[in-house]
Amino acid sequence: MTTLIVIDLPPYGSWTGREALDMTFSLAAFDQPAAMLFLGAGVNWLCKGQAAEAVGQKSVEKNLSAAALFGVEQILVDTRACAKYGLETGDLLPGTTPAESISETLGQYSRVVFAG
Amino acid sequence: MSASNSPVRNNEGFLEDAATWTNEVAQEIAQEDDIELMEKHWEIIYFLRDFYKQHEMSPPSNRLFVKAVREALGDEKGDSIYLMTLFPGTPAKTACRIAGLPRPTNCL
Amino acid sequence: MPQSLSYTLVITGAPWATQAPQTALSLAQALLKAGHRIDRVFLYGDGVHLASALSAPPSDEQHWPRLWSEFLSGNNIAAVACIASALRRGIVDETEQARYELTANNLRAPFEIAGLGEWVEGNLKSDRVLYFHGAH
Repeated sequence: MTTLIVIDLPPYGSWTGREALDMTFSLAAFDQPAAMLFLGAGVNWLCKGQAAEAVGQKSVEKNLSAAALFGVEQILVDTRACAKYGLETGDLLPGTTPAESISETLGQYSRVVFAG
Repeated sequence: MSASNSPVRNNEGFLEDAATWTNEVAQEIAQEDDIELMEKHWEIIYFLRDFYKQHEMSPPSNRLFVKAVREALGDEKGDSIYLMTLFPGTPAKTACRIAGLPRPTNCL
Repeated sequence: MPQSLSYTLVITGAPWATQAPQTALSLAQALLKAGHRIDRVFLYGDGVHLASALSAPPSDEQHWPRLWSEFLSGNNIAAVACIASALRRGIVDETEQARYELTANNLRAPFEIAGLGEWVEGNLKSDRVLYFHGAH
């Protein structure tokens, strides 16, 4: 049974999203199926070319690029939010899956975890 | 390299400053675990250092370490027994220490 | 009698910063009263502050860490603070104090420090996993 981890906060402003990413990786570490959904302002996690060193943090873009390698099944992205933030497919990290209807996407998972 | 000019390490033998890592430092750390570094060790060490550079993190668990090695170097090397033979103890931890990467938090 | 379920409770909001520990405690008490079981309480992110032995609120305010630890001990419920969250925020037990050569430890009993594997296990075994977040 796949657990869906939802990140609806922008990167860097708080540690919450990072800690949700750690949860995702911990599922992978125990061979438990996991997927992620980036929702609302959370879609900014998926921007290419983040310069995180400017704020003295590690790049969530680089952290996230290990997800597929660790066996995270899918990285879903809220297409409506992408439009709102002016992000086109070419602006996003490779390997993301568009999610047109969030309610439908959430309905497909019986275990859903929102970043705190 | 003598012990007196070795870079600073913490109580579990991990480097305090990753930038002080050199091949000689790796050899010195490995010796403490009675490991003589051969070609096959270096392959994993360089893989880990590359991984760290690319993802700004070490594989967060031993299992994910094995998985990451398998993705990069194939089934034969991405095998827990193979890695255990090269890096006794907890392979991910031993290999990270020799590769000069940060001490894992033991979260996984 | 309705079906009895097992629960894992995950608290990510800190006491006095959010209402999460208070809401979680009320729910935990209600669950037991209704005949359900609590497998484990897992503190994550800012929620680890609930496990501090050094909180000292004014005497006319609720002491959430103490109330929680009494509830856990009284009902024999396991409670864990995530090690990675706890180390960042200065919540340590004797083992981590020694490991990181720190000047003190401050983990309140009966909380223990452990990894995310405990959460993964709850996610697998408990019938329900409930999250108590702070507002963001």
